[in-house]
Amino acid sequence: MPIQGNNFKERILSGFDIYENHLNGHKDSAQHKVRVDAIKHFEAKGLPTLKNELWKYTNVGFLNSLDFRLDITDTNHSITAEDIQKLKVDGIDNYVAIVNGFYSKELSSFDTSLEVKSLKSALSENKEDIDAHFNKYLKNDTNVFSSLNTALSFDGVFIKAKKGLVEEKPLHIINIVDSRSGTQFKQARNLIIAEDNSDMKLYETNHTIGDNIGISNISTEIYVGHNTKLEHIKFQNDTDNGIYFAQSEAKQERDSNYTSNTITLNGKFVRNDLGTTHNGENIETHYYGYYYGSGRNLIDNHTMVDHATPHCESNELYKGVLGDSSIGTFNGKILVRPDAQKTNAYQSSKNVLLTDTAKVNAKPELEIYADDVKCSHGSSTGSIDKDALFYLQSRGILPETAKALLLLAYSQEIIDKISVEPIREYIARQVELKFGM
Amino acid sequence: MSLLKVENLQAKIEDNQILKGLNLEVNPGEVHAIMGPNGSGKSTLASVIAGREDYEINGGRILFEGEDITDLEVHERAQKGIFLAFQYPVEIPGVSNANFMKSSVNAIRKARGEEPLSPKDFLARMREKSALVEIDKSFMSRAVNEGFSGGEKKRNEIFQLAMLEPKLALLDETDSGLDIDALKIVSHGVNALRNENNAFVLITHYQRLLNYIVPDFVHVLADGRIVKSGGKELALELEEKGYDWVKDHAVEEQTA
Ligand SMILES: Nc1ncnc2c1ncn2[C@@H]1O[C@H](COP(=O)(O)OP(=O)(O)OP(=O)(O)O)[C@@H](O)[C@H]1O
Ligand SMILES: [Mg+2]
Repeated sequence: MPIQGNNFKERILSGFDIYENHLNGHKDSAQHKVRVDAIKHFEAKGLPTLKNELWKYTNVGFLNSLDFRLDITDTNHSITAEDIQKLKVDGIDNYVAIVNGFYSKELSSFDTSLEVKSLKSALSENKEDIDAHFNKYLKNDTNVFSSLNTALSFDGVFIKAKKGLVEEKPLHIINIVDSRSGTQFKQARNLIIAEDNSDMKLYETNHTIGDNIGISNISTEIYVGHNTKLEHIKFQNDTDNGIYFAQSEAKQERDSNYTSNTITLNGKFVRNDLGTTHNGENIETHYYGYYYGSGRNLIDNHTMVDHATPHCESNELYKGVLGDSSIGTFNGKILVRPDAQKTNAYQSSKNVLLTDTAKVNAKPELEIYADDVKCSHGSSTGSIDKDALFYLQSRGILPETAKALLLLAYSQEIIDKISVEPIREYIARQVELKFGM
Repeated sequence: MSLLKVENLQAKIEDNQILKGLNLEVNPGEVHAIMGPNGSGKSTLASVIAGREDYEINGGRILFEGEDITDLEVHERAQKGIFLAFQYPVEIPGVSNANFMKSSVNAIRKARGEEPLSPKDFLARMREKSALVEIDKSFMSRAVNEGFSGGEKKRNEIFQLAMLEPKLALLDETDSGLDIDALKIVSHGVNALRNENNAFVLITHYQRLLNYIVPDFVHVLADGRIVKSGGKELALELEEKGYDWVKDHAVEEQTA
């Protein structure tokens, strides 16, 4: 097998070349032009360095030393229904599996009033939806991983709630990278359309299965229509082989309510870019996050709320616990544009450091161009409350248990925001296990 | 054998020598009261016996049932049967009283080689002991001490004491901040728990508590030492004459 290049960029570009050479007559298609533009953008920019403001705490240089062959149309994998059974949550019966970036019909199972299909099928069957929403919200210009996704992805999941549809049952999106046969770099592209007056709940998890490194790069575009409610829970508890880049960009219409809850318990590397843009009045955006870093985990959450319209509210709370030599980064940006009068925007990030070698970078960023607004932000970093530890221990509780009790209590505030009981309980249990309870 | 024996104990924090050679012996079945001026080291003594690590022990030792526990960790002492009712109970948001007590009771049982209490037995015990100190059931699902009034926090300490039934209970100003009814309830709780195998050390500023829980001995702690010991009448004398009297007296005794 020929070596594909000496670094990340060379591997990507030569993989793309191989793909193009097999295209023959289709190189002139509009779809292919989008890919070419995106790959050119990546070629010009390359991987971000610490000089890039959005990556100043997160070094992705390690990607250069990962040796992988990029075969972007390869749909082969070894994932079985048994693998899926281990990943699903009791009580959540609707799930879709995306393996190595491709929607797997065989491994998915659902009975829902939502329209759920592969993005690939939607691209040919849902022309109106695609024209209106596909590749409209993602920030290809400012995030090179989004442009990589645009250049290299072929599939993912398409989920749509029709006007007025209320679907109580959550849909679990299971993202898997199969790294059994070697290091992988895989893209999935998701499109979620919640039409006016609809209501849905999504639960997304990511998993690397195999002994080699699996890099996922997942881009999700979300449309939240008028008076629509969307709860999006992301639970990231991958193995130490998992490297995860996720960009999620939403557009919200008037009277809509979008809640994102991102809980990260493990992964070699996790970078979440979460964004929403307001397009109407009386919009609510809630961002919650909890992350626990151990070993040498690196967990980076970048969030952005674009208050482009007046009379809207955003409310953000991220809490982190960092142990061992882990690194946690939180960068939350609130942009209030000149028109967005009467904006209420709150942001809070809190961190607990368990060791001297763990590290946290917390950076709130407020950019406010309207004058009649209420905005606040706060950020704190501390250690475990010594008085509380002494109190618990003075009742005979072992130091490890005392610590675990306090850390569980700390996570509770975020976990309690999850409205879906089986998911809330499942995640709470996983956090307990993480702390040896 | 004495239950607790504190021998020539010296403890400091940063450069502040707080306990300066303190002796105290407590036998099973006894109630001791420790009184003394603010800042004299009463809470320090209680914390050091409970094992708080912020203090450096730079002399003397602490024996519990004949065993030197000076170097034991906080939870190990608690598991042996030492209980500290805090002067300032700590608020622990997010941890319910019930969960706290379950962890505590079962950790102590485990250390003694006993099985965890069954949920049914645990509930029954919670019910019985909360009735003893007249705490409402709804307290059990609330976070430990969070938003509790001063008096409620103190009552919660005695509830925990009742749940754990320690051999040695150190009550650090449990009477402070209690209204007269609560004081009666707390005292009643303590008296109900007294027996010939356990002992109580009451740190207090007020003779009033000692009307309800009658001590066998009263000690005066001043400037890091026990400067005077006596029977229950000493408390009355102190109330009348103040601490200066004892301090002067102590100096006389020392120079004599
Ligand atoms: N962390 C600390 N650093 C420095 N000094 C301390 C610290 N903790 C206690 N002290 C000092 O130790 C001395 C004894 O304090 P302690 O709390 O034991 O007094 P106390 O007898 O319980 O007083 P009170 O009657 O007011 O409760 C005080 O002078 C106090 O300021
Ligand atoms: Mg005190």
